[in-house]
Amino acid sequence: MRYKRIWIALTILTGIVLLKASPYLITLGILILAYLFNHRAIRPLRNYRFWIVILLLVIIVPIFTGIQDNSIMGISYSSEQLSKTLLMALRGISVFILFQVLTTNLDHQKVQVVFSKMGITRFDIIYSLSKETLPRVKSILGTRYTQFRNNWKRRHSLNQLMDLMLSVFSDFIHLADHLYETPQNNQKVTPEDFLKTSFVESKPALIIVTGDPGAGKTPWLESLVQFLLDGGHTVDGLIANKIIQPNEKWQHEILHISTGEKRSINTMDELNTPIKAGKFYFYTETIAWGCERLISAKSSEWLVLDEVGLLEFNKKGFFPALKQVAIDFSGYMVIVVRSNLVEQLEEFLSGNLPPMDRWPRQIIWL
Amino acid sequence: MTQRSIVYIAVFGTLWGFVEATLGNVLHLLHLPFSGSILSAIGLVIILIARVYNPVIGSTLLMSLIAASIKILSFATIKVGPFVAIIMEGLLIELVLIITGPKRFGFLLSGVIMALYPLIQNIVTKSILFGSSFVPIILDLAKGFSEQFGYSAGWWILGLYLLIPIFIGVGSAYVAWILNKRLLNNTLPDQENRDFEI
Repeated sequence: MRYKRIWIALTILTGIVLLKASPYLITLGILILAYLFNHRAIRPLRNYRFWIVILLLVIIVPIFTGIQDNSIMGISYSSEQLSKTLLMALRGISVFILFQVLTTNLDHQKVQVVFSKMGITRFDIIYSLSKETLPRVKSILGTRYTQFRNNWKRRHSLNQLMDLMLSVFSDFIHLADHLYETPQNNQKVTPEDFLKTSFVESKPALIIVTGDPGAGKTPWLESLVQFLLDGGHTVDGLIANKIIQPNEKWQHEILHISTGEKRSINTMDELNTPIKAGKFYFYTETIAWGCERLISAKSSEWLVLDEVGLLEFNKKGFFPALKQVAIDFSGYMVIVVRSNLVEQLEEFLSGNLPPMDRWPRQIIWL
Repeated sequence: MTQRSIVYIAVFGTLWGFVEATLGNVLHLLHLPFSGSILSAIGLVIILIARVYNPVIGSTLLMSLIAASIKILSFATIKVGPFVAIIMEGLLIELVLIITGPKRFGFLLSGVIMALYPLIQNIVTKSILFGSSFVPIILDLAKGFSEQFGYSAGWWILGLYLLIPIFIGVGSAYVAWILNKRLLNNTLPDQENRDFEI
């Protein structure tokens, strides 16, 4: 994909250099090439702002500048300026498409990796803390805005706008000081520390373990399970392990905690299956097996599910089991989700699993 | 960098990013003129107040990285324009504040720089897109427009296009200065009215 992107970008760049030779044909070729590479690359052309400048160049400039040597519908214009601005417009479209080809489908994780590689060593820590802070930011802004709206209905005054800003900044200074005074929130917690210090005690409760790929979510979960089993608690559920295969491929294997039974859940090799996510083809029989095991585990004190993701958000994968378990589960449910999916998880819970959405929850960032 | 600095960067960077992601998308949908300048102005107020409470070199740039990361999470794919704009905003204000410190002159200079940056960025971007003759063409257009309608109409339109963002930038720096003074003097409205948990 990366090399394909580079080759197509180089071809477009060559087209831009040679644009004067055959402007219309080359621009059309560039558009077709970009569309074939990824249809999303030409989607931003629908933005009207881009066309305002193009129209300004092609329509307004020839009317008001240059020697007016031609006319259309009684409006005189400069044909020399028109041909010049048309060429500029086609160049603009082509260069814009070049940038789109270079940036379409970059994902957020790649950007984070770039920051880390840039040597901004504190970025990961600050970003984790930022993600943890985001719900509070929403809450403060929402509450202050409601207060402002109610006051505004009674009396319109610019001072109220100033007061709103003062209240918001005062709240945020207070929030920063509060977080600083509780530094344990800003450090990775071990399963033992989590259970001893910051653990939600009311049941049922949802514990979300999250972090970037490679942050150690599954090892953390395995360690938690072991710690709980050693403490005599009943724990059940599914843990996903990555299995590296030859040819730079990998697959995931699901471990059923109480029986120790393992099954492959997906593969990167093409498979005749209705369930596919990204590069992976899923074994439907393993998913059905996993759902059964999850439902039968709902009487456990602790229920664990590793790697909840897009499959579940699309109501596939283990979603049917989660839906059933959510109705009458009365223990602690621990789910693992990638950090870039946490916001989607919140929406997923409120839209699809209302009982679970009402449980007290705790997020652990790794 | 101390733990306190890290917390302040995270909290105010998140506030900036959240405002960019929510208000920015609303302004974009409303197709308001100068929406970029309005958003930059709000960002500037956040940056300047944060810098007074966390006067650490590099903190503004790091805040911009956080804000840009949150902003791009609000899109399905990466949009390089807003991402680079936020980081450039952070970088420029960082440089101004390193030189001047978070004082009144620094606030006003930041306002002017913040106002000029989108204009310069616009000129550079358009010149890359449409070629180096873009600026001469626009100047020709202003001249032709003035000759056609009289009253130097073309130059007035161009002047307003340049002056309005500068006015917004300097105005936001002034608002930040007033807010900062009131926060430091602790003359806050309804402090007791914080009826929610932080």
